[in-house]
Amino acid sequence: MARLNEQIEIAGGGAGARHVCRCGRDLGPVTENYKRHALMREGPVQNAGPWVDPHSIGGDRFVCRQFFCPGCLTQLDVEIAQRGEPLLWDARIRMPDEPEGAEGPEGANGPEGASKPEGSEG
Amino acid sequence: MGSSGNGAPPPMGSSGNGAPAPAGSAAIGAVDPVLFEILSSRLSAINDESAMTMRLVSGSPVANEAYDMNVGLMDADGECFAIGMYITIHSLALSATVKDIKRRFADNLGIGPGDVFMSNDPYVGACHQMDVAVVAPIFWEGELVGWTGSTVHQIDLGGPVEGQVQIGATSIWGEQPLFPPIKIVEAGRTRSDVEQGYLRRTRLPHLVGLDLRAMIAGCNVGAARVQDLIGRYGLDTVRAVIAGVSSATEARFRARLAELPDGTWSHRGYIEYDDVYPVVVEMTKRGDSLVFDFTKSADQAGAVINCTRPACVGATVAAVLPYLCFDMAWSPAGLQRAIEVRTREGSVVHAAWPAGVSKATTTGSFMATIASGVCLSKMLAATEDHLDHFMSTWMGGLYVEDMFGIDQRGNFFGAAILDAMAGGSGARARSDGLDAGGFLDSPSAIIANIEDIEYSYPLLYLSRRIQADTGGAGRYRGGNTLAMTYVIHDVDELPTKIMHAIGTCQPGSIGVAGAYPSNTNQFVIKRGTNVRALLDGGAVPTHIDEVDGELEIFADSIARTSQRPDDVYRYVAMGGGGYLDPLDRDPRRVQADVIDGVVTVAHAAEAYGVVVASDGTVDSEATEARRAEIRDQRRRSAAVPAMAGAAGA
Ligand SMILES: [Zn+2]
Repeated sequence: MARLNEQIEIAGGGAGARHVCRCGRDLGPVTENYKRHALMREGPVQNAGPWVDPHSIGGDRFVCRQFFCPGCLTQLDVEIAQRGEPLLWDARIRMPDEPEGAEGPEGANGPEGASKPEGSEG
Repeated sequence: MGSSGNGAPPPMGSSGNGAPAPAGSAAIGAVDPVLFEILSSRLSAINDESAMTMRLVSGSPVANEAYDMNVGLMDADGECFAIGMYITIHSLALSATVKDIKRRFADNLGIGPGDVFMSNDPYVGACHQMDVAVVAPIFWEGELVGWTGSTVHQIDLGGPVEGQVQIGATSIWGEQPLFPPIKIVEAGRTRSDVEQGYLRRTRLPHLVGLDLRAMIAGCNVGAARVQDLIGRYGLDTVRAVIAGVSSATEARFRARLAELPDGTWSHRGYIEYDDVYPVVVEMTKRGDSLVFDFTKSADQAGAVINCTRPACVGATVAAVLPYLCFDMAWSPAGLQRAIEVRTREGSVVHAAWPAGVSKATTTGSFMATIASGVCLSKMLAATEDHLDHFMSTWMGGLYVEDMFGIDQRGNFFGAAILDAMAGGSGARARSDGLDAGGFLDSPSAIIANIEDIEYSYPLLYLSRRIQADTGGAGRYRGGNTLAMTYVIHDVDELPTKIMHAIGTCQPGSIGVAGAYPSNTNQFVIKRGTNVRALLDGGAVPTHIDEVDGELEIFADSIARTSQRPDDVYRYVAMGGGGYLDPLDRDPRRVQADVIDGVVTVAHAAEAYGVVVASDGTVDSEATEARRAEIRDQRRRSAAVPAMAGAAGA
């Protein structure tokens, strides 16, 4: 069976393929970022661990985004980002029988992905 | 080095999109398969001997104790078909330098037997100015048949600031002098005018001079051994083997890619400097080829942190090698037929002249390797068949300290302390990452013995040990890294101390599939402490908290300072990322980590939801309750972006 990883499998095929958590919870079509269909918590980068920037030298520039399955609450991903950056679409499986052009929104990870967050200093 | 520019399809090799041919079967042609294996292994052994020669001739602790060096063998066109097992990116950059030399010297000076060339020009092929490339043609009966090359990271090559990082530079004109390819040895005779011109520019002419001799020696040994091989087996056979090595690697690599799922994987890594510079990569795998697209990466900085395109291409291959090429000869030329690297000129990973790149190998190209590695790890995670080869992110930001001053013998010295190369490896699919397991760029990473450092430089280590809780938490956790504490010794002051890293504000070693990332790089100095009184009284404080003084925290990722006898310096390197949700970790593994001192009781409860009692046993009931509590916190504190209409993909 196709999968993103051990926690997120892919059910169905072709244009109708969907992300499914190991618990069976639907996490959206493969043509969309699964993170948009998960629970997300965004907090300070220090949420990523006890030795992550303990002196806060980065101020509040970086955030820790945690994504959980709405069904079983398994943590699906931990994303480090600049505050205000779009969600990273980190994994996108292409199904063998998927029609061409079903890529989803072009440029999902940028060019705004490389831009500075609002309010940042030049 | 790959195809240049944007949009061009990857050059296709022999196997195309169809079923891959058995490894190398067509390529080795008339050569007996057994002889092919013997000779291709011999070529790897020649690289090993070249590297060891270089190490033994060099007096530099960088080469001798930390193996910050490498070698490579190239064919007559400069295509690299075999690299040494040290810092891979050093060898991956040699090919571009040789190709430049072939053009540059064709009509003027020429290329002849016994010649050796050198260059540190990143716009030609060097990874950054400090990684001097020395290359030598291999001739057989008057015909050019191949090249050898070697690189050792240099501690000082001049420029306004001592060492690697040209603080304050706004372009390459504020960095170390550039040496485009020059002929350092002509027909077996070292050109002393050229050598003196090179050594005149460095603050450390003796050390740099010895390293130059070491690199030339490495090339000489490589060339002589290849000539021996030709003498014994004949030129046609050796040529067929050289061509066959790359073709065999290409065929195996394409077959490996064909086994993996198609898709696109993306990562954003960050370089902290005067601003934050994202290195963005989208890796698309289709059939038996791989495209790395870095075009959405940040615009270049004026100087210091960028890398040139050859370094970015090398950095990408440096990630592909350990993730996908574990069972094939490491022939960059073979791999690059199946890999396309897209970059945008003027970006932080494709610097446009005259942008500076003096710290490239720990910034632009380092992050290109890490970001590519994250994508490769997620591709491996997407298939049961290759789960055994999965690795989460290895040390995602390298800390280096350059120091200059007068040593305990009264002599001027310069050093690069590379202890942070101990890093920490990423979690595997069914086991933890190795504590202080090294970093992705080198299969042979080591760090110097403390005694060697203390003998060479005026330092006294108070401790160097595994730091608990620095590996990313997960069902399988990332390797923890090292923390080091030292004072200066037998001198009144260490006047120049330049500390530099990326990953000071954010952890570069990202976790995969629900795991947490590693720690961040950290360096602090406690000023004016009572450490001398404690030492005089017979106590050895091994942790910075055990001395009194004023803590100085450095907010920038690059800091220049000095250290006095009462100052205690501490830095923490970067560990590896974890794999899968830590709430699924077997409590017995957490318990074992607590007993071993590599995970604290507090972190066990906070990240893993495992309650370890003071007698070292796991409280099963409390663990179940704690894990339920964490899941409940997750439910109450989070929302679905698609429902909330959050911005983004
Ligand atoms: Zn679930």
